[in-house]
Amino acid sequence: MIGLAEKRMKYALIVPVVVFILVVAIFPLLFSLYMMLSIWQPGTGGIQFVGFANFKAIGQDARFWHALWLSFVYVAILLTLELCLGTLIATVLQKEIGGKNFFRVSYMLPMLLSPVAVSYIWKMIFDYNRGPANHFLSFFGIQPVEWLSGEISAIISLVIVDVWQWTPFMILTILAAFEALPEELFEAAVVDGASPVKIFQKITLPLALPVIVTIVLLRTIDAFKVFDTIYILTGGGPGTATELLNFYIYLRGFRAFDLGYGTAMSWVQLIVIIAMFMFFIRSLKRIGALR
Amino acid sequence: MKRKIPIILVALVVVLSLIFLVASGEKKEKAAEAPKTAEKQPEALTLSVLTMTGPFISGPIKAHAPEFKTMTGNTVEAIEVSFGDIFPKAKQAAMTKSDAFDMLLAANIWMADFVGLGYVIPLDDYLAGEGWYPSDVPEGIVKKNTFGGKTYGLICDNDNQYLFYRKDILGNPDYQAKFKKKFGYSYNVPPKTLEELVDVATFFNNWDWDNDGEVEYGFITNTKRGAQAYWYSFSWTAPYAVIPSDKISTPGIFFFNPENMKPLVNNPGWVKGMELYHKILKNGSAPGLDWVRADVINEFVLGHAAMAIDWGDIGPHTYSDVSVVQGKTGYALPPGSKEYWDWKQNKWVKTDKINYAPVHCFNGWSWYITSATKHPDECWDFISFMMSERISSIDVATPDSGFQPWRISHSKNLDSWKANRWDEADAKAYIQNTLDVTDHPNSVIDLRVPGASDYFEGIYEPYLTTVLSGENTAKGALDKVAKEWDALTDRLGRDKQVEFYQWHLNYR
Repeated sequence: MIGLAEKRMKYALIVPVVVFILVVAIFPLLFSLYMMLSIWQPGTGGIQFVGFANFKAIGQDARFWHALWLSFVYVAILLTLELCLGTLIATVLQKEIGGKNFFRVSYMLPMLLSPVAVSYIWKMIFDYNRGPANHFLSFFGIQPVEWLSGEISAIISLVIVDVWQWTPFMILTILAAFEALPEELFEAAVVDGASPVKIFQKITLPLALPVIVTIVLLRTIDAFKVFDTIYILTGGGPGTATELLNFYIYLRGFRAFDLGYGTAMSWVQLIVIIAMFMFFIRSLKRIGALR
Repeated sequence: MKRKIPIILVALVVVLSLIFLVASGEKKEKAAEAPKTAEKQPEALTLSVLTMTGPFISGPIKAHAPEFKTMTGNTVEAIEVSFGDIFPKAKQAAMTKSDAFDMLLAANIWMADFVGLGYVIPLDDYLAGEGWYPSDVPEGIVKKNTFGGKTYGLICDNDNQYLFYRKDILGNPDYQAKFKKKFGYSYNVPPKTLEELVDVATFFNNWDWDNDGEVEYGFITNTKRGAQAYWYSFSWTAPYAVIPSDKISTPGIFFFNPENMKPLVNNPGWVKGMELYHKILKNGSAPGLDWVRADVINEFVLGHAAMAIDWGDIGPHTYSDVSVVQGKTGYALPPGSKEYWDWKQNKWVKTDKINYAPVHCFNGWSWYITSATKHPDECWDFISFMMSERISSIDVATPDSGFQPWRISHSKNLDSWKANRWDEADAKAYIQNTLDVTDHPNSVIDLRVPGASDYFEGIYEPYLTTVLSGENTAKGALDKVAKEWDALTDRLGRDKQVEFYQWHLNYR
């Protein structure tokens, strides 16, 4: 029999944790639910409940839809590039080549750097008049490119920076997955006369697929929330050419202090990310990586 | 007990929600009156100032705070943040009534937000004890310090944009003859109208006019979104969109119709000015659209551009160690136009005189005392010390202060200028031009209504950059700006915005 005092002591011990979770997690979550249904510009009056008016406004907000569409395009392009490059480089690094360890370490360096520092470096590289990128192109007689100020080139520049910084993450994870595969399968395939392409297609890729899908999921969520590179490199411009959803939410929520609208957009973003998450989980289940 | 846990959790959430809702349901307050401390604090205080990361703007605080400490025992600490973060930080503090800052050294254009939130106190009672105010301050600055009849901030940096040009290059008789041959007329030195400026910039663009072996440019400007680019466009649109002061009872109306806050931003005057701005970028400017403010100063000072329209900071920088344009720089009103769009009668009006309309972009860095401080008198002591003739004369002549002349007496005592290697006549010309722009009868005071930064940075600037990059027409972009400005005004409350705009204009 547990005494009453001991029972009370048990509950007393969990109270701080419960209060902490309530204050830092549950309450903000519930408050944000209320906020998305309200208009609130702090300091200029109380919170005004407006029902679904913010969502109606989102429906009519061309900049929101542009930002959402642009986010999908951005994520799709950079993930395709990072995945292809990551798989290719991981395949090469798996081989017994000279300086293998040097390459393995040096390829990891970009992802160890702060995105802010990386952005400033790339800002200098992409400078129209003094940047090394245009200087390099001039050797081939190519006209200077408006890397950060052209409608298309600005988004391409953001993709280049992200690919440069985060492909190493792909390489690291895919390489780890490749190296964990059982050696016997490959030996058997070689004995059976399978070509390297067939081995990759029929053995390596299917076995590493659960890991690949998982890192694609993580990178998708991460890339969807990009902020620092946009803030430093383009400021969302020219025009709204690089105004991705996370950046637009920041502008409306924390620049214009339109907190209700910003919260509503954040919830839409969350729903989009959850939908993508569900899609990937289903994919994982379909390939048998999850039960 | 197990059944009680969910009940306790729900109760906690409800209680927290109620506390937060009550806390957030604040009433609109009038700006607090300055609390009067009966006695000076006997112990030494530390006063905090929110301002921009140095060396500019925060530099003078750090330079003079030790002397102030010797005099009063009080320490003044500059809390420095990047330019883009000052307003969000100050506004957050204002909204939460935080006492994190005793003073602000922030933009005059944010005055309406601070006053609306009751975060800054009127300074009129303090100023009554100062013999120099307003007699030693240009009228244009007194207007900007005032909001709704009270003085809420004190400008210590006179910000407005005007023309800088190379006297030696534009005055070269050979170049003048070649220009006449090419364009069929002789240009003025400096150019008087924007159209003339475009021609002169086009002529001097992309060749080595100073024989140093490098290609130079006609004009340099700031074109980057998120880097204050929008201010650089106003000098191009204002002369076509501002009705001259002798034709209207309230001068300087530029952004909205003060009766109803309907945007004027897409009227034919704005469109024409914007088209001309795009034209000079294409034909008369340094290539590329990555130029930011520091580039404008550097390119001019390093002798790479013949002309620029910028804030007065270029002046002191022409006397820096790296400058090649020392004594070769001319200062003038930003060029005007010989026609303007009369938005009241919806028609173009031709003028015999040139219609100048300089814009007080940013209006200036301004001292504020927050209503949250417990030591307003001590804050005033520091502000009064910083604004004294002795201290301010040093600051406005120092290149790294970022402060431009704002007292009439700054043009009389030139010792500080000479100490910074200025030629006396050049210093006089520079100071006089700065003060002339400030007090020009058609000048436009930069917008001071709640949400001003959202009108410009959030809406106007993104569309401006699409015009500059050639992805949008001036008309198409400005129509979209007008539509979004209208929606923003509705969201912020049209009646309230009209009231603020009329206070801002001192509308009659």
